[in-house]
Amino acid sequence: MEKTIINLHMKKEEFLQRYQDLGWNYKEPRPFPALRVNTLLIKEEALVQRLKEKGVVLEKVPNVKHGYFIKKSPFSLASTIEYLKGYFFLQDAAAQRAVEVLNPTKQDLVLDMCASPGGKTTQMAQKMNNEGVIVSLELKKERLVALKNNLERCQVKNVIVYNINARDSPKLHLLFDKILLDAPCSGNFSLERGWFEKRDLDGIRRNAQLQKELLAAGFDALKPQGELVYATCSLEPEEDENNCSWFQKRFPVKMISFERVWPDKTHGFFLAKFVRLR
Amino acid sequence: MIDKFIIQFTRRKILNEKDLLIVNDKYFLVSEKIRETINIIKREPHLAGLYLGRQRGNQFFPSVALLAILHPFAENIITLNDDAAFLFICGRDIYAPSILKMDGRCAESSIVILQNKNKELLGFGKRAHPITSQQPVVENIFDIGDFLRRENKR
Repeated sequence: MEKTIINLHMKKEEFLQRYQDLGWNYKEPRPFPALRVNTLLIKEEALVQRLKEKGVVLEKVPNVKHGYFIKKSPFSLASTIEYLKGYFFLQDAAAQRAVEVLNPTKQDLVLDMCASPGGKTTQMAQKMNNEGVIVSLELKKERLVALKNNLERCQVKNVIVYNINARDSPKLHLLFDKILLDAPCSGNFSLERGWFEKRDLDGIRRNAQLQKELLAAGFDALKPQGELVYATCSLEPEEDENNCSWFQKRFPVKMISFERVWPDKTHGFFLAKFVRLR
Repeated sequence: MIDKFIIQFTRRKILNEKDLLIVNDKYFLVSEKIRETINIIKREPHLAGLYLGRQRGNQFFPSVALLAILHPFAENIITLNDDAAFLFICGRDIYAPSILKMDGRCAESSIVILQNKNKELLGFGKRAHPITSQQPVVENIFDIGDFLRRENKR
């Protein structure tokens, strides 16, 4: 019997060809680190002024409310008193968009399906002025430590954390107004050295399958007319557009916006916002 | 246990028992909404609301959030100069020349809050009994640099 061998290992050029087909011509990205001011604990202008006096050069990130690119810093910002006091969170600028798009308010019951290390969780708490309720799920015990530290450092008060699989979201017996699904993904080359050599189509497809299961669980936990933001830091269409198409075909949801950010001044990112129709 | 810890800083009642949630050995400050949500979910949370600290044996280990609540009510507060403030959050003890101000009696063996000149909480310590100037005035018990040390331990 003749065997068909499918080569799932892709070369860098093949990945880049896929990106070109999606409308992006590769150029070496130069992502700047970024921070988000935690306005629960300090006024934005006050922190910017303090860091400026210490020689830190910041530039406002467009389309993000409290985000700044760190253009220059004479020292590691994570060892400053301002960081230890929870006055800011080091968070990629593109990743800050997901919460901006979800836009949770203090009236909302929010589900954060894959929460650790808590960048988006603390950002949501900030948007909600530490009111309302965020239920945050994290499957991996070792990742709970970073989540706990960040919630404590940023003095977040409105979060309940469960060490459970996000696929079990419907078992929480609640229907949520808003859901953030920042899904586990293949990442992208701007985040990880040697990414092209480590990744293949098989792994990407496995991640896409897991993401579909998480989307289905998210749908079951979402109120009718509720909103879900699906986000990944993957650039692969299987994990982004294809999953969004699958979600709309399989469930009564409508995609109301999407953003694909190619690596440049920020890392790559993808997000889509859905509303549950019934 | 948490009451015994708080009384070392202030005699004022700063936490309402009805707002506390104890999960295993961990203490949390929770809103009514948080409590209602937990009751619906019917599972034991890993964390809920504001984490206040944990009990281990007869000792209570506070969170920075609890110290931040205590700070405005603390009876003994010591203000440090910039250099000492930096050294304190690196886990070091405090020597007399680095103290800018002492509020309250700050008697020997008492528990004191340490702050910088911007009145920002840095941690807490125990007033020591220095016999010579080479000995510390305050022994560091806990400081906010703990966040970094926890990260390094992982």
